[in-house]
Amino acid sequence: MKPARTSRGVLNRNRYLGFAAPSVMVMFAIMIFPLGYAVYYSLFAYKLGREPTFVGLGNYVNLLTDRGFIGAVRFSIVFTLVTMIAQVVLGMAIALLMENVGRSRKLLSILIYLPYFISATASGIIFRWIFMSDWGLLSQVLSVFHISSPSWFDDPNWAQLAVVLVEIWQNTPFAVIIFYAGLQAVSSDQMEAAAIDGAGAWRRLWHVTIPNLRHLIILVITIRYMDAFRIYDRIAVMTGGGPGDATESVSLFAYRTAFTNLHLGKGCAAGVLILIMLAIPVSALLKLMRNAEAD
Amino acid sequence: MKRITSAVAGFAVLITLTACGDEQPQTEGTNESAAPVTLHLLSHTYASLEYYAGQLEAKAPEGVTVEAEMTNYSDWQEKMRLNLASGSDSYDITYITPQDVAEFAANGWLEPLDDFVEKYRDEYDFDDIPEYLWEAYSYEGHIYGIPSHQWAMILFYRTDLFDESGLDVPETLGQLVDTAKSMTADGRSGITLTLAAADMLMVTYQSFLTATGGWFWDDAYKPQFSSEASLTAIDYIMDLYEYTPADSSTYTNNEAVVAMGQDLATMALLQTTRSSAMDDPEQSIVVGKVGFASAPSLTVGGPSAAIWNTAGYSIPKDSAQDKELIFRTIANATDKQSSAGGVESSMPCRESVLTEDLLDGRSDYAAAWKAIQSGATLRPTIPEFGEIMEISMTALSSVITGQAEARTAMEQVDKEVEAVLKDAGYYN
Repeated sequence: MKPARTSRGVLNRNRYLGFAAPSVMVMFAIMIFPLGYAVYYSLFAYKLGREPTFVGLGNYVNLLTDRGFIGAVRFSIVFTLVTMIAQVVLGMAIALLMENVGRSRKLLSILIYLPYFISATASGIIFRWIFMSDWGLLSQVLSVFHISSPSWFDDPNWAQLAVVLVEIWQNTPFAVIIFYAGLQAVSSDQMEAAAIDGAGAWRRLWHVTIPNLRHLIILVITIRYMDAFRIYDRIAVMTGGGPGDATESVSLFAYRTAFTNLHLGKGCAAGVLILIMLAIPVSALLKLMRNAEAD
Repeated sequence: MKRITSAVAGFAVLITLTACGDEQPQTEGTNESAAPVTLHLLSHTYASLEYYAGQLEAKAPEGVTVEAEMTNYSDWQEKMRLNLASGSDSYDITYITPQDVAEFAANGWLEPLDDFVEKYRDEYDFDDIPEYLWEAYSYEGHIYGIPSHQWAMILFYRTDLFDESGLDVPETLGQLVDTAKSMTADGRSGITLTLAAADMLMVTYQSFLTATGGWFWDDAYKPQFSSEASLTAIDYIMDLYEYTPADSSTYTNNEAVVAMGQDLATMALLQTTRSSAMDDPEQSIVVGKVGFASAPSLTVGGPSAAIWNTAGYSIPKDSAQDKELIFRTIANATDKQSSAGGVESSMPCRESVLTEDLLDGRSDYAAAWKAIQSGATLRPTIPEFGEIMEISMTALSSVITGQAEARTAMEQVDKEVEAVLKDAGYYN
């Protein structure tokens, strides 16, 4: 039998809603309002300094046929996939290594985590000068071994590789932190039982460790996907999106459209498309994570 | 209830008094009111701009303090655009170049200075500034800026290496390519150029375009990026690119100065704003070994592969401070005395300072002056040029780095630029 709805119950519920109101207002102010504003202006041809004119989905159609935007999406997808896979694999390997080292674990963990604490802009500046071909640190080191450094920033392929390598260097520690914490929670009983049953190190990894860390792997993939796809600052500093537009990410494209070329409407439309490209895979990943946790 | 009413009334009185306090009248042109005034400057930065920022601070009228915020050109441009577009009164003085005047003035973001210039013409001897410079800072018949210094693209070259090789300083673009080729040796590049898209590549492209007799559009504003003159200019840039240091496609002035100053290049096409760095022991290991000449031309006696430009100061329309006071602050910092004091780091604008004696003693300024007189061009002063530059130079960067073929890429640029100009009403 259902409890009867009393006026006191309704009052209590309203009171709780009142408690939530400040958070809702803050959410509205910092998330919903700017998003709504961007969606609204994405429907206008709005060049800074001129009157906005309504164009409906014109900016979106324009973007989907813009070779600059398509190139930026293509680069962002490749960049995200390569760095994400590398960070998960390397992160797992380093976390396992840390689990199995003895006394030097503390020092090793500090060294490994260090890149993660450097700001993206600072790392961009550092690596721009490291990769600079004629006087960069890398070039000097390679010259000791009589190896000539490639033109990292003149060649589109090398430039893309350079930004990928720095992204992997800087954000793999995040995966290490998560996986290392997860490894502490893997039951030693399971590992011992597998060992007694004759499972070698690889089989224990595939059949015990990884299944236990499945939800954390999805978590790392989700967060790294979001960050890598939206990358702006490090690329802006390292290559400026060049040579040509070889390393232009979608965020860099949106920024240039809005703040260099002053097409605010088109820039907002690019922002909305980026949000959609983020939201769909992330929703799927979060669902996958919930399923993994339920298992 | 009575207490609440009293508190509200008291608060209202306090607010009113505070508001009245903010609106103390300023005496025209001077800060004779006792209240100190702080003017905020946003500027690009290099040696001469640091000097003039110092002059703005040191020669500000009594009671006026100038707080300078110095940043690189791109950051200045984006920050100032957003401030001006949003009607912010954060800045009272802005660094400016003629191409930015066009964009900012077209949007109504700058204060016209005609009345002040007339009023103070004699006091600051504004007739000492040549007409071509006033024109550069004018938009649709109104003056929006006061020039502080000017510069042009010139050829930097290593005098010791040229003496050793017995080669002559190149006078034509063909000779420049040949010399760059023969001077590329011993880990040293023959030449360094500024090729970073978009702004610095545009400086180089426009310089070569000037030499080949081309321009960005014809008289009817039809884009000419794929014209023969433009493609010839691009050919020369690509020929020279072979003999530049690796990663030159990302070089701004800063990297090119490092390459030249650290003995990594024999020649450089750079602007006179960077010439003083060659004799600065903190930036150069080749002090006393760098000479200056006019940038080469397509044929002897033709226009140099050079742009000229100038920087000065403007007043944002939405500044909340007394505009006449700001004008006098700028005028003090760019007067004859300041201009004379700044010749170490920059080529002056005033005729009384840019004398034959100065040109005799400064080969870099002499080379720049020769380039200006031989037809060096100013960047186009149309409000759409920023966007045109972004489109065209991103494409040119792809061409230089081998990602696209020149004619095809530039024909595509013509189409995109035509769309921008059409959208802006140039063909109505």
